[in-house]
Amino acid sequence: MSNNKNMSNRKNAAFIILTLPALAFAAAVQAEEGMHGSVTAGVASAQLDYPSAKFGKFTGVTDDTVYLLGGADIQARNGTRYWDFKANDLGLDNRRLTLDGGNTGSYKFNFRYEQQPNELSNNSKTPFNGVGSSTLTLPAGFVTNASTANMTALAASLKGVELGTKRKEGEAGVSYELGKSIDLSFSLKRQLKDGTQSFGAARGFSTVTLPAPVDYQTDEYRAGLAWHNERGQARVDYFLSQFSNANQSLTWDSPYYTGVATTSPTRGRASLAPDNQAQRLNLSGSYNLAPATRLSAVAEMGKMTQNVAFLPYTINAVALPVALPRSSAEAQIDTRLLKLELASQPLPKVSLNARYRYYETENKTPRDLYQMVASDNIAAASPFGQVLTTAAGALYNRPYDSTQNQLNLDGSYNFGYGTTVKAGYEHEKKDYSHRAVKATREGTFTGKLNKRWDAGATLSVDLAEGRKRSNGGYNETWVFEDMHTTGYISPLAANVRFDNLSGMRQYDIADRDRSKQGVGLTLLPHQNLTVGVNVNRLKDAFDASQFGLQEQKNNNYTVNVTLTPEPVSSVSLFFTNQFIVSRQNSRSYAAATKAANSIDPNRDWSARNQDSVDTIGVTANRSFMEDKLLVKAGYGFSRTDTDISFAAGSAVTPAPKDMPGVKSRRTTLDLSATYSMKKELDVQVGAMWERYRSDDWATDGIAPGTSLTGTTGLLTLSASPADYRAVVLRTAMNYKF
Amino acid sequence: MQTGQWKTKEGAGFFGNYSMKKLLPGALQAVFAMLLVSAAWAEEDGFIENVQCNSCHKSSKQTYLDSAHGRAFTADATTGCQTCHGGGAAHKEVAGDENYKGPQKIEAFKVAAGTPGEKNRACLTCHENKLHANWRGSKHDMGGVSCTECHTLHKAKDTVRQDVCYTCHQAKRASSLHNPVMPRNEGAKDCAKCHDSHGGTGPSLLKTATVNDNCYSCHAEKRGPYLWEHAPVRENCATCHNPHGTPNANLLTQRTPYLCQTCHSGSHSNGPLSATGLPPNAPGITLAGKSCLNCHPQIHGSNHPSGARFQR
Repeated sequence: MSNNKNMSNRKNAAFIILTLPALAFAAAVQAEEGMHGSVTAGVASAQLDYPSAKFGKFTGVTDDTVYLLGGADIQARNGTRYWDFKANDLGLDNRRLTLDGGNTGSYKFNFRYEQQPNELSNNSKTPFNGVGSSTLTLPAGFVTNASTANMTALAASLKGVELGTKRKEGEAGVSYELGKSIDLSFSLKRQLKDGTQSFGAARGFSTVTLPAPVDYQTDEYRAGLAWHNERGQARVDYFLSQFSNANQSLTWDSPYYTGVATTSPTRGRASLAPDNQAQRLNLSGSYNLAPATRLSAVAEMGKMTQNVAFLPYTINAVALPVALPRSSAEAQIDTRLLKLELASQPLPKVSLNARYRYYETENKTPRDLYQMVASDNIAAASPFGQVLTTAAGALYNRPYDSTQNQLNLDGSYNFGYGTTVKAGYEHEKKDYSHRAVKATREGTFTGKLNKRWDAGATLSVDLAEGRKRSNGGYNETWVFEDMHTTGYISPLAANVRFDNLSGMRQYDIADRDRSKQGVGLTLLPHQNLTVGVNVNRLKDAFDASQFGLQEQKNNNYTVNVTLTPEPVSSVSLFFTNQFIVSRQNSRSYAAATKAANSIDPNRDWSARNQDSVDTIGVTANRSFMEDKLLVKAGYGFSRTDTDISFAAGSAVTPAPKDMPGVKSRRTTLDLSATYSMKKELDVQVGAMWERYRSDDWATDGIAPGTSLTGTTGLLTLSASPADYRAVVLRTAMNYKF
Repeated sequence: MQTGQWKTKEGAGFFGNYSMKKLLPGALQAVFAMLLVSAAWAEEDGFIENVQCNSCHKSSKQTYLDSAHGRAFTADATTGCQTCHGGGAAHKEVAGDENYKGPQKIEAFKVAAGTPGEKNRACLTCHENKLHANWRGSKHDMGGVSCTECHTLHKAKDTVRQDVCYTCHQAKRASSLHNPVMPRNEGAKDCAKCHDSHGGTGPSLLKTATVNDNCYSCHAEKRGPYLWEHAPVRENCATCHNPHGTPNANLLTQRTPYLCQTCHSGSHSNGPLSATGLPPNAPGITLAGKSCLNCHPQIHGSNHPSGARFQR
């Protein structure tokens, strides 16, 4: 950790050393006409009671460290020529640099570079060697066993592993105006992402969490040609994205190897994200049919392809009697978009809008029958072994297609005196393939009222009511028959031909009633006081679903207060409460008694999931000494609570017990002062204190090698919560020119 | 495998036989009706030289000259201020009067008078094309948002960041603060990274045609296409994720395994996974660590020939 941190600090320092001279140069040539801006340089020190990936999730500051503060915002103008340079967080891992320039009315260019870490864990442990590569091996002397309790060398084999990724992105673009009516543009972007992330690997009902490598590269190219005049424009844009992964598969030694290779393979292998490409050709145009009537159209054709060679069914050397139906997926999805829109203001107070949208995905991936070798396990007798050619192990792939037809009609009327009323209707029809519904239809009515008073007070009311219904019914059997072979289905009794309960409704395609309300009110009871209240409610009801999601509510309200008691000071605060509740039903059954259990209502159970979140933010500013000294204070607090409770019928054993609460608390206090030594130079000092506490039954106390009842094993990567208390002190100088 | 079962059968559902074929002719009639009643309401006024504006409005001069507008209108002595605010001749006549009470014969965009459409008209004169081609009829346009509610024009750089969006979208601000899993507050991912507030091609003002196309711009590894696709994943990432923030890991709308169980009641996912199953009790493997993803890590799709259950 400390070596990595030191190296990171050295890289940060080198980055600033290279960048700041450029900024200094910029400052030195300020005499050039029209150049001005500011440069910031300083230092900060972070102290944490425990190293925490949570604290530095997006900055890289996960442990005690000293880092440099650096930034700049410089503009230069010379007639119509200009350039803008901006740099942020140069001393941190999330540094960003942008340079925009050009000659107004002639050409533009832009360069951008940014980094973004995503720290996931810095206290994880794994027994595997080869972290970062596509082959993970167990150390010599590691004792494999079906149960983690009997992996006697596990504790001695564990070593620290940092989980997280770092994204680096560079982009360059240029556009050129050919005369007054034609623009050409081109840009390219490269994004690199590397690091290590967790990856679950199963062996029957045992699992090991692996540190999987991330080494991605995505290149994007965009080219555009646009024509425009006073009444309209037409554009053609081309987009190409190429994704490549340095690791197409991940291989690991199985810690659950029991000495019999046919029932307990020595190694496992999974595919990782395959290389893929996407292209889009977009044609768009807008034309003012009349000064207040505009017709717009977008037509886009896209293609996503992926054709990486398949891995064999199993990494084990035993020859399988069934060959792969093809050597690669030849996966291809074509997309087609058509959007037509007519917006008109036929009268000064009347706005009308009509929009039609068609979007289709046509999945051209060939459909074949593939064998299911779930855990590289080739023995038919084992729980997840393959049973070639005859049974549940053989499945057809399902290349999903969907088609969306959507029509929106909206109108608004301005009554004057800042009052506007809007009403609208949206009708959507979606067609699906390979799913439990063939089509759905949804109609949504919307209404909106806006009122704005001269004194600044505002009122807004939003309403929406929607109903979605399947067209032709919902039938889980269609999915079952679509993915299994007739050889597997035919011998089964009709009442067990399902993978999902027949009453289960997947909520994205289930019948749904949606209701939304929103009210926002801003008042100015005094010239120095603004008070705002914002309330939003959303309710989805799935009344036709016997099982699955039954209801979901997502409500929130916010109170804002801004007080400006005197010109030199201000205080603002907000409080937001979010309350998200969902309720789901299901029915418990045992595989051996599936037919009888699945129709027994005494085996029904339901779960209620409740997320409650409070967020408070307070900021206060005051200037002293005729605005030479500005003092700021900020306080932030967020609380999240997740509670999950159950109810069940008499035949559900054991009777379900409510889950322990999942909690997080984050408190932040920030104080800063900026003193203007002279017109061009500010000195800033600041201190930030932050505390984070969390409880989560999924990770707390779940050490690598946690013993479980029965024969299952759970070999995780981490057990430590990310709690921390952090203090950051900072000082910087800001030079303006 | 059954054949022919995916043909769409038009049935009388909730909406009866109300179809696009019936809606479109009505929409086309509406188009012609709009064209017939459309009218121009442009208005002209006398222009003066810009230097005369600057003689009174001194504080606006430098910031205006540094702005994109300042650069764009450098060449013409009579455009600039008046291009947006209208001709200044009448305004100049009355501005020096001791009874002058405020904006008169000049466009003042911050006052409540006038519809948002009227206030935006000056901006759209130049900005209707290029990046703002989809403004008219967009959610913000129809919602009565005027350009000046978000933009400050007399400024060298008018950078509209997330704080401006939070003025109206207040719940989004809160969700960015608790358990953040998108670096919005570190500056890298502000709202404009995904949304085009001037009217995007996709739903919810997204810049891209679909939610997924937008997500793939950072998560191209999820794009596939895969041999084994997960239907809701292919259709819409937001079926399971809320990109604006949730209390749950990976921006999931609900914790696993319960999120998975809202759709799946298979052989080992049909029972209530409650506190009785927390480790060391069985079936702890479905609750602890990565929950369902302990065994089904490829939930976004798998390209392994044995990846039908997203295990490999």
